[in-house]
Amino acid sequence: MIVPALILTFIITIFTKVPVAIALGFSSLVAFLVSGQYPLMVLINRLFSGMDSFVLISIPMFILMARIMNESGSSRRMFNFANSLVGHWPGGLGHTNVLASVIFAGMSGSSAADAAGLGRIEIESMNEHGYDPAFSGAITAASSVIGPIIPPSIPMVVYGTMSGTSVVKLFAGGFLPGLLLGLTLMIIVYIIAKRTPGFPIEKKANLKERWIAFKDGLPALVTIVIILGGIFTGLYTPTEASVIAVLYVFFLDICFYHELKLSDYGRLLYETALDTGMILIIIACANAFGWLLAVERIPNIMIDFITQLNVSPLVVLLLINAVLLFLGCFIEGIAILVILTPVLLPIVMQLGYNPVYFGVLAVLNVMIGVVTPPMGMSLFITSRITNIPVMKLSKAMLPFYVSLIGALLLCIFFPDIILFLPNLLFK
Amino acid sequence: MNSKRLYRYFENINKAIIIFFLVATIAVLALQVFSRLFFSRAFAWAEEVARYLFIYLSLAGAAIAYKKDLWVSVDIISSKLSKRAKNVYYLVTESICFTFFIIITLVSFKYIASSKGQLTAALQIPMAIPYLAVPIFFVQMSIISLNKIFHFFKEKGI
Repeated sequence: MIVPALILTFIITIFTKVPVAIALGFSSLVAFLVSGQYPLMVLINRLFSGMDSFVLISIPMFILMARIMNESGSSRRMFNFANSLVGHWPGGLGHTNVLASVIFAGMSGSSAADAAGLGRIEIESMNEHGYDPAFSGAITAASSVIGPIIPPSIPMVVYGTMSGTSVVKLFAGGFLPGLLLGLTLMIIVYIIAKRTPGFPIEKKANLKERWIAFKDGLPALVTIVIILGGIFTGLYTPTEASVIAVLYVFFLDICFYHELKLSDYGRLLYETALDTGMILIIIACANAFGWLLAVERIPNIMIDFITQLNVSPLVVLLLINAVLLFLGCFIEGIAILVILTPVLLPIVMQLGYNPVYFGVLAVLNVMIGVVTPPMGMSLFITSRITNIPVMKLSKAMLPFYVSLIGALLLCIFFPDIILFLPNLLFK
Repeated sequence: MNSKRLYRYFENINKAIIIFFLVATIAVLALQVFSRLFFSRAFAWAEEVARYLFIYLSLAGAAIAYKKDLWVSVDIISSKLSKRAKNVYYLVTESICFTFFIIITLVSFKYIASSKGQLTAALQIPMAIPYLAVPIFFVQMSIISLNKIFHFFKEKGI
C-alpha cells in the first residue's frame, strides 16, 4: 500500500501548482499515514538529515561567488578575454559566447548563474554587433549547460551526496565532457555562420590586445586555479574550496574593482540564501521520498525485473538516459537527481557501470533539461533577457539540441571521456 | 490579522538570520581551512557549527522564498482552467501546502521532545538546538500559507 500511495499522490500533485518540494513531502506524508508502519517522526528525521551535510554547504558558496563575479565585472572581463582569442573565427561572438561559458564554468556551478549573469553580457554585446537576437539567445542558453558540467558543479554535489560518490572524482569526470560540449557547440556555430549570408564577423585581435585582455582577466581566471587546483591536489575539500573562492572574489572587488557597495553585499547574501533555500527544501523532502522507495525495496524489485528482461546493459543504460532526458523537460533537474539517484544507482551498478560515470551522465541529462521546454530554467532566463518567446527561442535552439545530444551520446559510448581524468588523478 | 505587517516582521527577522549566519558560516570555515593549511591545526567543532548554521539559513531562505512564490512548481494544469475552476484549484493546492507545513510543525515538536538527552557529537550541546530549525521555519511557512488563503478569500470578497 505504501508505494502506490506514494507514487499516486506524487503524480497527482507534481503537475499542479503545488511546489515540487511539497509534492515530494506531501506524498511521503500520505504514504506514512496510509501505512502506519513507520512513525511520523521518521519523516522529520529524514527531512533534517537530508539537509545535514557538509558537502551541501558548498551550494550557497558557489552561488554567492558566481553572483559576486557577475556583478563586480569579473564576468565581463572574462568575456573580453575570450573574445580576443576566438572572436575573429567565422561565427564571431557565437564562439566568444561558448568560450566565455567554458571559462566561467570553471568557477560557477550552475547554469542559471551563467545564463543570468554572463548571459546578459553576452546577449547585449551580440545585439550591439548586429547578430540575430534569436541566435544570440539560443547560443547563450545552450552554452549555459556547460556551467554545471565543468567543475565545480552544484548538481554533482547533490548527486555525490545522495549516492555517496566522491564529489572530487565527479568533478574530475565532468571536465572533458564539458570541453566536448563546448567543442560541439562551436562546430554548430561555425556551420551556421558559414551557411548564413552576411553573418557578422569580428576583427582579429593582435597580440598586444590579447595580452591586455588576458592581463585584465587574469585575477578572475586565478579563481579557477584556486578552486580546481586546490580540490584536485587534495589540499582542501570542495566545500573549503568554495569558501576560499568566495573570499577571493570578495577580496578582488574590495581591493581592485570597487564595483560593489556594502549594501550590495547584503542583497547578494540575501538572494543567495533564497536560492539555497529553494534547492535545500527540495533535497530535504526528496530525501524522505527516496528513503521510502529504498525501504520498500523498489530498486531491488526493478533490478529483478530488468534481469528477467535479459537485455544488454547498454540498452538499459540508454533507456535510463532517455527517461532522465524526458523527465528533465518537465521537472527541475536537481529534484530529479535527488529522487532518482537512490533508485537508479543500484540498478546501473548491478549492470556493472561505474558510479562516477553514471553520475556525470545523469547530471548531463538533467542539465540538458534546463534548456528544453516546457520547463527549462536557462531557457526562461534567456527568454526574459532577449524578450523572445520561449517557443521561438527553442526553435532557434534546434541545431544546438543536436550538438548537446550528440555530446551526450559520445559520453555514453566512450566512457573514457568521463573516466579518463578521474582514473588518471586518483589511482 | 494585518498580513502585511506580519510578513515584514518575518522577512526582517529571517533576513537578519540569513545574513548573519551566512557570514558566520564563511568565517568559521575560513578559520578552519586557514588554520589547517598554515598551522596544521583543525577544529573539531568548525564543521558541525557550519552545518547547523547552514540548516538554519537554508530554511530561513526557503520560508521567504515561499512567501515570494519562488518555489519551483511544474504547473501544466492551471492555464487550461476556467476562472471559477482556477479559484477552487488554487484553494486545493494551497491547502495541500498548509496541511504539509502544519503536520510537519506539530510532529517536529514531538521529535524534539523525544531527542531529550541527546548531545551533538563535537559541541556537546543538546540536539534540540539544531532540530529547532524545523518547527521555527515550518510554523512560519504554515502561517504564510494560511495568510495566502485568507488573502485569497478577502480578494474574492467571500
